[in-house]
Amino acid sequence: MEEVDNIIIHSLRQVGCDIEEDVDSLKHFSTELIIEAAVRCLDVIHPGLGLPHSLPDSMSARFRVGASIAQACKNLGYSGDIGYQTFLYSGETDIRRVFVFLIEKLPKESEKSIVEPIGRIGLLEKAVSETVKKQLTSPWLPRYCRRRGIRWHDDGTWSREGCGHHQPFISCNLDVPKTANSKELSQAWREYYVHHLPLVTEQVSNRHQLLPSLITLNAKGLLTPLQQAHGVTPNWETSGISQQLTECITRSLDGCSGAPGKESTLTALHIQDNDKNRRKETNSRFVLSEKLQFTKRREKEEEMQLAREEMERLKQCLDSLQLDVNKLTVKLSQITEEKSHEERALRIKEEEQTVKKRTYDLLPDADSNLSALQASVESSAQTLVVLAAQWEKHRAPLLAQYRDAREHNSNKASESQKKVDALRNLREKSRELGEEVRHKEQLHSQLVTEYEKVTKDINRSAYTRRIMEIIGNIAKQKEDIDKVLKDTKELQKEINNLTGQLDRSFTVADELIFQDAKRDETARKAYKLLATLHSDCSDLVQMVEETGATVREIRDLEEQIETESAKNVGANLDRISADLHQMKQESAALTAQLNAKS
Amino acid sequence: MELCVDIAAGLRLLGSPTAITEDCFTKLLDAAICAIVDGQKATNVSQLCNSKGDAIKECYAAVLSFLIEAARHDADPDTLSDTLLQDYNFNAQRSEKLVGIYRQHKTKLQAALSHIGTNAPHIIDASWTLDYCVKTTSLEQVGSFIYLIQFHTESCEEDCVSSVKFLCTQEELQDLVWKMRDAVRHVEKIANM
Repeated sequence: MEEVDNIIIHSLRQVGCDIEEDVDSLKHFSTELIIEAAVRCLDVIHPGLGLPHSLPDSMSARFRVGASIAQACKNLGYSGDIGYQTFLYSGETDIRRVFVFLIEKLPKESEKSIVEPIGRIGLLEKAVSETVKKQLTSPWLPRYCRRRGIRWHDDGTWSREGCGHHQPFISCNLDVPKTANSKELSQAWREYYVHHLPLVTEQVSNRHQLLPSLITLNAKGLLTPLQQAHGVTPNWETSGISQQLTECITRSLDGCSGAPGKESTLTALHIQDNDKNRRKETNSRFVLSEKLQFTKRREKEEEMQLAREEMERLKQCLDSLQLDVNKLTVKLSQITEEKSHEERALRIKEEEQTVKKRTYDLLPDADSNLSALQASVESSAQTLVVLAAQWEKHRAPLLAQYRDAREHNSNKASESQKKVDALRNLREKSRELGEEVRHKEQLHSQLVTEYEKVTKDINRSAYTRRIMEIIGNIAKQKEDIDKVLKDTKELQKEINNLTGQLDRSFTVADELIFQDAKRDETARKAYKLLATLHSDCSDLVQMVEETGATVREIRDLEEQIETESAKNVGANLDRISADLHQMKQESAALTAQLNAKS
Repeated sequence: MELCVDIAAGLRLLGSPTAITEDCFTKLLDAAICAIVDGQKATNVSQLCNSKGDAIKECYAAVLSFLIEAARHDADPDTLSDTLLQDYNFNAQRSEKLVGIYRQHKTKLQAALSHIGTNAPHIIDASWTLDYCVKTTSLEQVGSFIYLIQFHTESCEEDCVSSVKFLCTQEELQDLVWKMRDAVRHVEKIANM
């Protein structure tokens, strides 16, 4: 029974009962503890019964509590005999049976554990629900108690309430100095950056524009290289944004600040717009004034018309003149080109002429001149060959050196390229490893928490081991019992054999002595003695059997006494009589009160 | 989180101990956080550091952008410190300092970002008048209730209370109340998901 008690006490501690360490069996349970344990079990099984955890002072209230607990147990389906007396005047076996039933009814741990949501969407939904729950549970705050429309919770988190202090997303163009390529910058630019350009926080006209402007600055910086690489519409297939959208974004960014390279067209457009507006304005103003001062206006208008016409004429004249100028400049350039052509041709012709002149000079003494010429040609050819040989001599080693150097260089370049690749790979790998490490750490912490949850169930394996041991013990005991039974049967058989033998030998002896007894006196005496011996022996055997039966009966009775004493009827009786006495006193007091009142 | 080339260059400049001194680095971080969270402006460059005006200005813009982009993408501080060490050549001490400041002020940065946007007017209170219509020109006996409801609303940009007024009959009011209950139940469902 000790095992069962241990399991019961362990389960009760898990339910939340405050059982002291030295209590290791149900025998030591006090009435208060029994009531508390039963009520806690019932609370876990059926939350909301509202039974008190401790016994009240008044006797009748105690009976009521005991009766209601018993009723709750019956409602759960307890089949045995149960009433207030089970809890108030407890017998060990009854209480054990009740607790075993209640603990079996306890909901399992596995049913309670909530399935953790997995995946990004699940986590997001969980976070949303947690935030909403927090906002729902937090008390209402008047609007002047919030800091700029935000309520700060004690744990450092915040939530927006209401819509105060919202600022629209208005950004302005921020200018940031670029020192990375400062060598390309002119002195004036650098001067401007160092001394005159205000900080980015100063460049916004309103402090609410700072954050939008910074966001825009980054987004624009990300978008500009794409724009330059792919024309106006950047290729954003990877990010999955449709082209129309990107166009829209680029356009809005242009409108916001003017992307590089587009500024001129934009300003032109702007000026055009302004012109149109102004013209419209003048027109409308003109109409108004016309109504008021019709005649004066008319004269003026005529004058203006004249002036305008003249201006138109002048404009046309100017246009035609400009056209002429353009034509003439084109013609001029053509003519200068032609002139340079002619000059080049002239120079070539002059050269030809000098050569021809010299040949004509040499013609009269043709033969000698020819030979001299040939000789000079030969000598020059020879010198050329010599020079070529010399050149070749110099060239070969130089060429080899050059090739070596080039090879060396390319080797070096490829090596450095390799190293760069390796470095990049390593960096990538380290990042991956870092991520993996973080992931593993997360997993580790998760597993640790899981492990902590699991450790409680170690008892379970211990209990199963114990159960197995108990089963083994039972099997051993069964074997023993079988052995004893066998022994008993053998003994019985032996006894039967011996009785049979005794009977037979007695009859034989009886007959022999009886036959002799007719003739012999001593034989007759012997026969008589034999008869008494036989009857005395049978008496003895009977006595032994009777003793056995009595011993068995005694043992039965002792067992009965033990079970009765286990119910500790005497103590319970004492308590019942004491309680009865108390109750009588209470009712007497109540009657006295009633009498006094009436 | 993605940073553009110019800002990345500014961050690299911020990370190099030769360009920005340690003292200057701390001042820059403090000024940036003050500018975003409290709206105080670092009025003068000389307040931050007295040499290399252009580098300071670039770093200031870079650190502001970095903090805002990180808060906008709800970046994890550990990932950020990895990125700073590997891509922007920060040393461990500076990266720790910057990430520490980010970790400390992350919620405030996000709260500051939450101010951006427009919103419908927010109802903060309601007052009502119940009228009883006795008769009209066309009807001798009308006998219907008319509710005059006034919602006090908080407007978005200015710090003042305006109001929305409307008239409705009993049925219409009932309809409105049911709709509101529906909305409340929906929110509670989300909370208990």
